[in-house]
Amino acid sequence: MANEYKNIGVVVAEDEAKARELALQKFPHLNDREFSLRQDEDTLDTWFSSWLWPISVFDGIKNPDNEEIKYYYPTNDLVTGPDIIFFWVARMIMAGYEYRGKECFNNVYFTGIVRDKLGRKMSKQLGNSPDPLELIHKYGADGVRMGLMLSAPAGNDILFDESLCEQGRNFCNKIWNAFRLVKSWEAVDIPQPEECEIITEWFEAKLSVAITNINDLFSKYRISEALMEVYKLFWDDFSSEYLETIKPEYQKPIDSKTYENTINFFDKLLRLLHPFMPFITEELWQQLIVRSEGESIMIQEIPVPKEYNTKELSMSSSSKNNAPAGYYNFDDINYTPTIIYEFEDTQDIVSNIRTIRQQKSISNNIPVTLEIIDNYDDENYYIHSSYDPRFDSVIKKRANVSDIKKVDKKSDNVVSFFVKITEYSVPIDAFINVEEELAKLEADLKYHQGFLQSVAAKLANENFVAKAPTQVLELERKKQADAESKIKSIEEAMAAYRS
Amino acid sequence: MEIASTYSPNEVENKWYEYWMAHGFFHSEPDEREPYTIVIPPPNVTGVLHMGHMLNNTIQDILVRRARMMGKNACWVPGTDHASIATEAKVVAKLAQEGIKKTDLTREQFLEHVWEWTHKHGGIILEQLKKLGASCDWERTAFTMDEKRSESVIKVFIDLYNKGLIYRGVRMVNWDPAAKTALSDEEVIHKEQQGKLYYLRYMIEGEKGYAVVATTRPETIFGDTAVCINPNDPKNQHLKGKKVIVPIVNRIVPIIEDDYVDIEFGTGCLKVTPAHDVNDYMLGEKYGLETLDIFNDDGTLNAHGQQYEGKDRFEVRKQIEKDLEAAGLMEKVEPYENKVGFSERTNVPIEPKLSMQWFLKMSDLAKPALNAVESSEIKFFPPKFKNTYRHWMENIKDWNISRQLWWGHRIPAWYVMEKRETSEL
Repeated sequence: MANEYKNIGVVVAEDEAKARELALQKFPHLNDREFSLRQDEDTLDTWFSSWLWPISVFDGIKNPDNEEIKYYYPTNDLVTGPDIIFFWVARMIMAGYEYRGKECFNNVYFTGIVRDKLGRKMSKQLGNSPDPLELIHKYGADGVRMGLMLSAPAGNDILFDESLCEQGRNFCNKIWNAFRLVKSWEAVDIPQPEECEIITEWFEAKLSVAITNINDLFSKYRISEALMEVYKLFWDDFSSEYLETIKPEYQKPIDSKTYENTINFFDKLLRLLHPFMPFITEELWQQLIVRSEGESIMIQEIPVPKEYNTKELSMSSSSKNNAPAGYYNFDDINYTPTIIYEFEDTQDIVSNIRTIRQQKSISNNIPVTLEIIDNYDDENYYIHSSYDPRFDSVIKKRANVSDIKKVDKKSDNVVSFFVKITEYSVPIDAFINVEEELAKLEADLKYHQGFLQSVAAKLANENFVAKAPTQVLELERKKQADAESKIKSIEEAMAAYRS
Repeated sequence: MEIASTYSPNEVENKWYEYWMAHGFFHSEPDEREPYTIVIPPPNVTGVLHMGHMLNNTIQDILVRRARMMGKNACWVPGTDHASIATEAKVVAKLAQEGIKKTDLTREQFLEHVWEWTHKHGGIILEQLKKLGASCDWERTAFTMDEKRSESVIKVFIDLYNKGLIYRGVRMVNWDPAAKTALSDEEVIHKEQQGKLYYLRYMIEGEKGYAVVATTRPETIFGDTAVCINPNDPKNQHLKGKKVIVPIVNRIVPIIEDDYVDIEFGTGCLKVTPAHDVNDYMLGEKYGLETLDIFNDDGTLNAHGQQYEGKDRFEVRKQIEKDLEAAGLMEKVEPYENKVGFSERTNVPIEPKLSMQWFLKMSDLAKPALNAVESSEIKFFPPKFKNTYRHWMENIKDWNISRQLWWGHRIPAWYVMEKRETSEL
């Protein structure tokens, strides 16, 4: 029976009726002959439908002039894996020009391939592919989102480690706890303490710089780095510096001006964080102040950087791309609010005082005094010193300093340190237990003497000296010299205590 | 207000996702604002979420949420792909468990099974994306085989055919014997394999001597229609103009000469199997050799395989090694590492096979697409992928768009079958 019909050609049409029409046009003699149509048995490659995707989802193939395709096309960004650059990306670009005469998207962001922490591709067989829903259950969606982004530079394979989700969850807890702390304060109408005023000015500048950086990073699709920027802003600058500085004493109220600023900062931080961590930011934003039904953080505006006038800014060159000495790379100059540089000294001073407290076992509850060694006459003072008294209040609060004063000359029994070219010192007379210090030094001395002995024994061994390579010998001699000088300085310190 | 002492993500997440949905915050309609559009890379309709999806969709959601907060009219279109070969393979496997073979079913019956499977498992992955917080405009969810998308595909096929860009032809294709379909070049993954190099003796017709032919695929000798030497090869001058006998098959085939043959490889004698090797196919075209397809669609040997008919290609390889040894027609066997193409989907070795397929001419389509990326009208992040893209676009081959599958858009081509005159029968 098969031979009853012969194939005389092919027509391409959307249905059988149209195909019949075409067949009759193409083969007019069929008008008075019996014929049938047999549709090709094959189907089209899957990519033959997905290559039209950016157009077909807006019905732009069938209705090329419809409002939606005109409005939404070209699409902005495509996020996909480099493994389908030919299967899909290239073919979509071709279809875009063929059917719209325009690009189908402006930017393609190629993600890396997700591998396990050993660098192996994730697969069912290896059993190294975690179940995403279990991860979400365990760490929260925000925690998992953050975990993925922390390991995801564009285009490079990402080595996924569950501990990154844990880091994400910890960050959620950090935000949560910071929020609880702020909400636990009672705001009353009292004057704003000096340190609160200055730290507010500083954090505002930090926030502004971070927003500028985040915008820049997003424009380059460096999304993981943008997340790191907001992460550090929240953790280091907001929690560790700002909140610690404004924090009222236990069960004391906070002044309402600082409180309002803090709520305002929190609001901005939540909005910056929202694209990365949508759930916790919505939850806290809704609790930050009274909201009404239908409000949502997801439709708020992303914060913009504060405008600074040039007097408030300092020039800085990015450290990543230093021009050779004597040349300025003008493309590479950033203007940063001056207060950020000035405050860096304050941060250094506070951290030095804390180190001294630790070394000398001075409890944080006991106030110390800070002396600024001022060798210059008043006229030249500001030229030579980077010290700025307007941050005194912050130093006092953060390092528990009762008094900050200038002295002509370093006092006895102080521990001193430099920040830039200015020397600072903390008198420690009152805190020193001579017996304890001597005991510590004694133990130290014994250790170094023992060490020196073992090195000296090695160097006295002729066999060793003859056979050891030069570098090894040099290293041993250096160890010997170091131990000798250490012993000398310990002995001097002990002599000073005894005198 | 009482704030819980610890953060409990699970309660919070469901509550706010429902809130966002209830207020239609993800939905977009054209208006006077600047649009910001992303189309989702459609995951397989019956797939489940894996870590790759998680990463990819987290990034999309970050971009979309940020654009929305920057005052743009953000629209993220979700959807799924029918994934013809992957889905069809899953359904074939499921039916096999129930003792049903695809060949026992009509096309319509089989498609009913696939639709049932699609409805049962379809869209699970989109529900999973909601757990991640994806702010897709769910009212726009599309499927590559829904009515609008299917009609678009058919319209484009007809258009490209009418423009003369789609044609039908016999070509050497990448045959997947497990999925029983041709694949595009991009669906073949080449992997280093530890195999063997077999040195076979082809007796010279009417003489005592023999030619030694090295091959990694002795099971294809049933399709040999010539042996080729390099005319400049001093080792094989004595074979010029002779005929040799294919071992076991006992077919007499000519010695042909072409400088395509690598003098350094093996013995410098190449068996020519036009039906099962791309390069041999080209030699066959050049020298008018007969093309003998020795395989069934599932990778077993057909009647050309003589006593091996019905056996799998790899089983035959093992058996023929023994049989050649026994017949004294095997010179030696050496371990050998070579590249073998595997199906991206089924992970079985590809069989080069001649077959009638539909192709799309790519060179004209590729030009504006290459320019767009070169001129940064379309930007790649990271930009290193521009090189990969350029290389492929400059060497683009025609796209084999037909698949011997049932799940997908059926090719809208109709063969006109004219009834023969009684005298023709």
